Amino acid sequence: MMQKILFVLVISFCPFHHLYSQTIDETFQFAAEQFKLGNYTNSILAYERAIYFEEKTSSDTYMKLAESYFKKGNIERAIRFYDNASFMENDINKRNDIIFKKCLAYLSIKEFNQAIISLTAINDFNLPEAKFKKQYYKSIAYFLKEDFEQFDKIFSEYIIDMNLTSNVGYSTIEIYNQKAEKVKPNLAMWMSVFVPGTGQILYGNWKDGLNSLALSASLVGLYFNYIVQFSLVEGYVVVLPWFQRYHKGGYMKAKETALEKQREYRANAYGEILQLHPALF
Amino acid sequence: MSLKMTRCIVLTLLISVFGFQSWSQVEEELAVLSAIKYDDSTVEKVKVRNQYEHVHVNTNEIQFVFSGLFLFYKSFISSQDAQSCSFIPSCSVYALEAVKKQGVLKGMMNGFDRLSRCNSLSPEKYEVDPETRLLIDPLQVQ
Repeated sequence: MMQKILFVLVISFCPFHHLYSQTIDETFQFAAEQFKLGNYTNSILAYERAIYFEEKTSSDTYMKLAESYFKKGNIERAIRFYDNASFMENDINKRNDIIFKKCLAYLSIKEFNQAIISLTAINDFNLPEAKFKKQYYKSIAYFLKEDFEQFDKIFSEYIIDMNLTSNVGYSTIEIYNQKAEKVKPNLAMWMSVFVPGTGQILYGNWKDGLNSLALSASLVGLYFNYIVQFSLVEGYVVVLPWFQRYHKGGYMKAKETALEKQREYRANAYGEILQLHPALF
Repeated sequence: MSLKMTRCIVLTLLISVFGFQSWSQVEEELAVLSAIKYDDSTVEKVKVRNQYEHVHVNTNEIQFVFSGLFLFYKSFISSQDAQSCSFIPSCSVYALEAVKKQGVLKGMMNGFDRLSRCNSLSPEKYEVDPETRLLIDPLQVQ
């Protein structure tokens, strides 16, 4: 009993008063350090903790938390906190920046419609920079959504407003887009249905085109050989299933080749669009 | 140092620091945008001979001939076909591996056995590869 009392007394008088818990400022400092170092898991934990204990969370804190989630790849959570940050922000320019980041997050997860909707919250009254960026992001969203009609409309408005009509990049985009529109996957497919390999050759895939032509021709030759050597029925039973298989493979490949070509043109156009970011002018 | 000179230096430093920050932000933005779509279109197609590493490992002339036949089949015949084999690895890959590991006779027998099982009526139960949705049936040789 005496030992227990003594233990309690010793513990009570021990100099533990210098120990203290982490303050909110220290948590913020730690979170910022972790964010700078790229340890986003730690920065997320620290910012979440700070938000829990802080009386009124600032827009900056939500923004940093959203950025941490974005860098970590958890885009849905990032969007949620970008939303919080934009609601808390009073400065129009900062609020616009947050919304653009939210739009970028939506684009990165291929939610193109949501990205377009999010841009409606941008306040671009008397703010030409915000207006240009809004137009640019909107046109990118339409391009990625493959709504090229809307893209053309918005992007040409952006180009006129930015005074970039004589820019080489813009004319290159137009050329690539026109080329992409001229590609006809169904035409390539039907050409290969009637003359195997021609659809592939039409869009520059000579190797596959000639390959398909040679394979189909040799199967047709084999079919006639069977008819002459054996009978019509035997030709049908033995060769036709193989012909059907490779003929179908050929015309499907022709369509694929055309789609690939179209995609290549669109990719080149997209690369040029990225070079026309408003911040680069 | 005159006051004008000091102001100039401070202004240059400020512009460079803030300019750099905004530039890196734009670069980051562009990196995200370029990764969304079309970033794989510039990737060159892998040649057939580089897709199958085991064709380069031949210990005798017979294996070399079979590897050549395999490459011919994959380049000029199989390439013209849609996906038709139900297994992973495909029957041709399986047969080549079997010939290499079990010899010509036993390996070819094993290959034909695999071909006879390559249909939807095959009674065996196989695990399904979640990525390709094909039946998993690797060569099992003691």
